[in-house]
Amino acid sequence: MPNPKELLQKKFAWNGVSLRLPMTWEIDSLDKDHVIIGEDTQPRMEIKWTDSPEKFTLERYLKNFIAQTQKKLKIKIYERSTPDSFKQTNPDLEFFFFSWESASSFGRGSLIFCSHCKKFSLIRFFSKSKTFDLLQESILLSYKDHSNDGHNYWQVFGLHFSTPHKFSMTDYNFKPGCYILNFESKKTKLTVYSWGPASFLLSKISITEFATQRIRRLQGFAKSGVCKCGNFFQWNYQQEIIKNSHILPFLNHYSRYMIFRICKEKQSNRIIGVMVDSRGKFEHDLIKESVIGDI
Amino acid sequence: MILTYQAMYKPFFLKIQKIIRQNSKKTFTRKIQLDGLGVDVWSLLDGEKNVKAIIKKFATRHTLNYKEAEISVTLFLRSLGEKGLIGIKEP
Repeated sequence: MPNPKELLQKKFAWNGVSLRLPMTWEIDSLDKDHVIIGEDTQPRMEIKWTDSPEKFTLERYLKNFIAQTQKKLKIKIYERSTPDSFKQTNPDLEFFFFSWESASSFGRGSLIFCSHCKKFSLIRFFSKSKTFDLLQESILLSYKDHSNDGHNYWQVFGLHFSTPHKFSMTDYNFKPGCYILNFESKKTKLTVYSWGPASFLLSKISITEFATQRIRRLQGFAKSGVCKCGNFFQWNYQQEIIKNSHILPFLNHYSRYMIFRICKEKQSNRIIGVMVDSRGKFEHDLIKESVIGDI
Repeated sequence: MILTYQAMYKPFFLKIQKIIRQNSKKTFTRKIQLDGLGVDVWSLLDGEKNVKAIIKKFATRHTLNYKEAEISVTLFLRSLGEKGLIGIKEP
């Protein structure tokens, strides 16, 4: 019998949470704080997470959370005892186990409270058995709701990058061939693009031509360099609020400092682009250290 | 690659044709040009492979995520089906 940990070869990371999954499990539905994962046409698991209020008692909050979940998902939740394998896990995480049933299906699940980031997560599995199997236990044990290195990790649909913790996601769009994710922190905006398949998109044009076709507002010439993914091209320019507004120095205050870096990631056959739009200065460090792995 | 197929005139235009009694044809020829990815999916349609197998093959060939390949291939197959260029049979 294969070791369940060996079966969990796929990593899923989204908006602060991460876990490991079997290769055949795919994302069926994705929201900022909710995800349904399935296999073929069957749902396998659902994850929902929320930040806890500033002042609360764990017991009362759990009661309310369970009542709300029962009402919202139209399921009944029954408390279950903690399996032995969870008694010595991450000290930050507290697990509350339950079984659930609806009119058409049932399964097991766990409510997880993290004392470090004060996040509540609900994970429920859709299964034929009312007990946890080894695979489900391994998935639960791989669950993380924060990272300790100050970065949020993102690993979905073949994308893989990180953003500094202070950046929160404002918007995302996954269309076949083009993914766009927007992040913001104070006055700095970060946009991550991913286009694919790169071999097809770059079969007739160069990567710089591709960039200028897709990002119309690029100005000036691109500088080239080498990063972890391979060769990259980068544009640095100041976007003025009105054309030729640099003549009037007081309008400089309103201009935006833009950096756009694009590179082809050979391994995933995708083109990755990162746009940093900030006020006041060019955010070179941000683009070097954080996005697309460790460029 | 260019695919040529017969398309029906919309009823409104057929009525106009009847009124002016010109060109009594009910169909006309339409052409669609497939890009490289379209040609690739088209070449996988052999009447043997099922949709899932086509998606898997397409995803592997282009190093695409399965979900991304699934959406693009099913959309493409649906548009071919709407034009009457392919038919899908139940297993």
